[in-house]
Amino acid sequence: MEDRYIDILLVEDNPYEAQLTIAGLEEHNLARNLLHINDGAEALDFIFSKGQYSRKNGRNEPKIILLDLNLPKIGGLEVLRQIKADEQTRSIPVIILSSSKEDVDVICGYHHGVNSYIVKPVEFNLFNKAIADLGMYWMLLNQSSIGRCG
Amino acid sequence: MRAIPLPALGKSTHIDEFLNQIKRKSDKLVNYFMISFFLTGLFLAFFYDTWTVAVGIGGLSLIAYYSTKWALPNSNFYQYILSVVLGIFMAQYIYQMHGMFEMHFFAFIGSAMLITYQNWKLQIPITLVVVLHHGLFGYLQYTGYDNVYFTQLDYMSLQTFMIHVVLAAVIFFICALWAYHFKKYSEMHIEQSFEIGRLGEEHVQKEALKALNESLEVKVKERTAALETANSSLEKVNKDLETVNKELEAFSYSVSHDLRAPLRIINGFSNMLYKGYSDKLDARGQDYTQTIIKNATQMGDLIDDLLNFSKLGRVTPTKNPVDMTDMVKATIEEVKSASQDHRSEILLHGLNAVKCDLNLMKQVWANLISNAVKYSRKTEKPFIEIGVTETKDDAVYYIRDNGSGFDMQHADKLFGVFQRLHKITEYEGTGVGLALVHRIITKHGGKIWAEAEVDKGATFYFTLPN
Repeated sequence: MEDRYIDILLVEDNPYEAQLTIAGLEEHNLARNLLHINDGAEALDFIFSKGQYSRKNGRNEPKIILLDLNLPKIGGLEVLRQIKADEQTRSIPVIILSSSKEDVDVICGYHHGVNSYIVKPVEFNLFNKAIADLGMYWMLLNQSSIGRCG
Repeated sequence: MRAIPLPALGKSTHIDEFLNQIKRKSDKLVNYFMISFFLTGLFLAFFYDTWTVAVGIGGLSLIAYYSTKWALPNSNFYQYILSVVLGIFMAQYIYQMHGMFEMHFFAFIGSAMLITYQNWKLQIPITLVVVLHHGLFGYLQYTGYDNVYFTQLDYMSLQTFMIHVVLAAVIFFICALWAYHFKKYSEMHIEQSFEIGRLGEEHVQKEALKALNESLEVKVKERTAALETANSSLEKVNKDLETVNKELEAFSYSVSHDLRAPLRIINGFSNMLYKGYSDKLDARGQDYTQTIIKNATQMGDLIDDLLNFSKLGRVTPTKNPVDMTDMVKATIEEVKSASQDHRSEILLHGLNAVKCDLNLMKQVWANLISNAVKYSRKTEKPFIEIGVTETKDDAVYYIRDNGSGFDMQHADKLFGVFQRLHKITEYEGTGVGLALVHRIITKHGGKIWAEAEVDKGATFYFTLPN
């Protein structure tokens, strides 16, 4: 699949976690245009269309980014910070999918401008529901921004 | 600093003690004099056969003196009686010797004797007796009464009388003066020795104080050093504690993150196996998969509860006015929708508004209500009642159910972490809920307890300060 058609970017280092998330999305037909990347540096390359993801024209514009916090090379919070610091990318909704309920992670996440912070439930049905809900909401219901303000 | 007490005995006590010594010595001497005076009377009786007078007057005098002394041992009144008695002895002797002039000298002996008590006032009674005696007997004799025997002189010239009076006055006066001076000097003497003693003691005290101060300084230095050591070790302990706390936080963080992830994966894949491959698994295989799912789910709940519980240790409640009735109503609805087979009737009495932490108090009610629902679901007609009673200081909330209850013997274990009074196969749960409730109520300054009976139900009470 061409990079420019990517709707969902899943940044998750644990392949099994990724598999579960993808399975949850697939169940609702939301995982067709999904790219899974397993470290922070590569995720930034994709988002800013550089390195192996550099393009001749245009840039990659996923509809949502699902971001884990514990990532190799560059951590999830740093990836988030860079996305939200850049004029071009800040409008992309970023959803943190984390195992951590710790206040410090939640607070820091929102401080850096995350659009949603979801603690993944252990229970499968709840987890599936959470994944389906967020997919539906951000992919189908949410109106993404086009162009610039002012 | 504690003052060293001064000697309890004061100056006046010392003087009293000294005068008492003199008194005891003088009393002893007076005893001999009294016997001698009485015997003298008996001796003089030979001359003019005056036995009645010698035994009668002398005896009465002795009785008067000793009975007063015996009756009033702490008063010096007997000394005044002595003074009178000495005057009477003089009169007795004059009479016994039929007015012999020399007998008048006994008045002077008496007067001199009284000096020993160092009290000039003792001269007054004897003087009065002598004056009265002389006046009365002189008058009686010269007006012609017989047997008065006051004097052997046929007449009394003014010159003789004046000499007599002046001599007597001078003697009594001098004796009184000596008595007065003796007392004054002994007092002065005592005061001086007392002062010298006091100065000595002061000196000793000053020395003792100085020594005490010095030893105190040493002690203060020692203690300060010990305190400094203690402080630095305390600081170290504090730092260690901080480190431990941080480690603990890091631990709970990693438990939160790293333990939940693999558990979710186990759970997720078991579910996918169960759902996607049920046609390839026989009944036993499906059963095994279900067991894995159930236990992984339970472990997830356990970790969630534990994290919640440990998090609570670091939280201080933020108290705001909360409408308890609304909150409990909402919580009841949440509990009802969460449990599949709720059929309990829940009666909610009006609760008062109270200042508490909304989120924490919600956890309290959620736990207590879901417990009540859970433990009464095997009852035929589950009934739960929630209300409040108020005392002077507290609001006492209660939640009562008619469920399986528990044995009050184990009531002390009720609020401990992982303490369960029922089998996990009977009633699901992690054993953390009530520990959480206990921690929240305690943090609010309240108390929590329960009353129950097996198969009759349980009532949980908790207080919140008004």
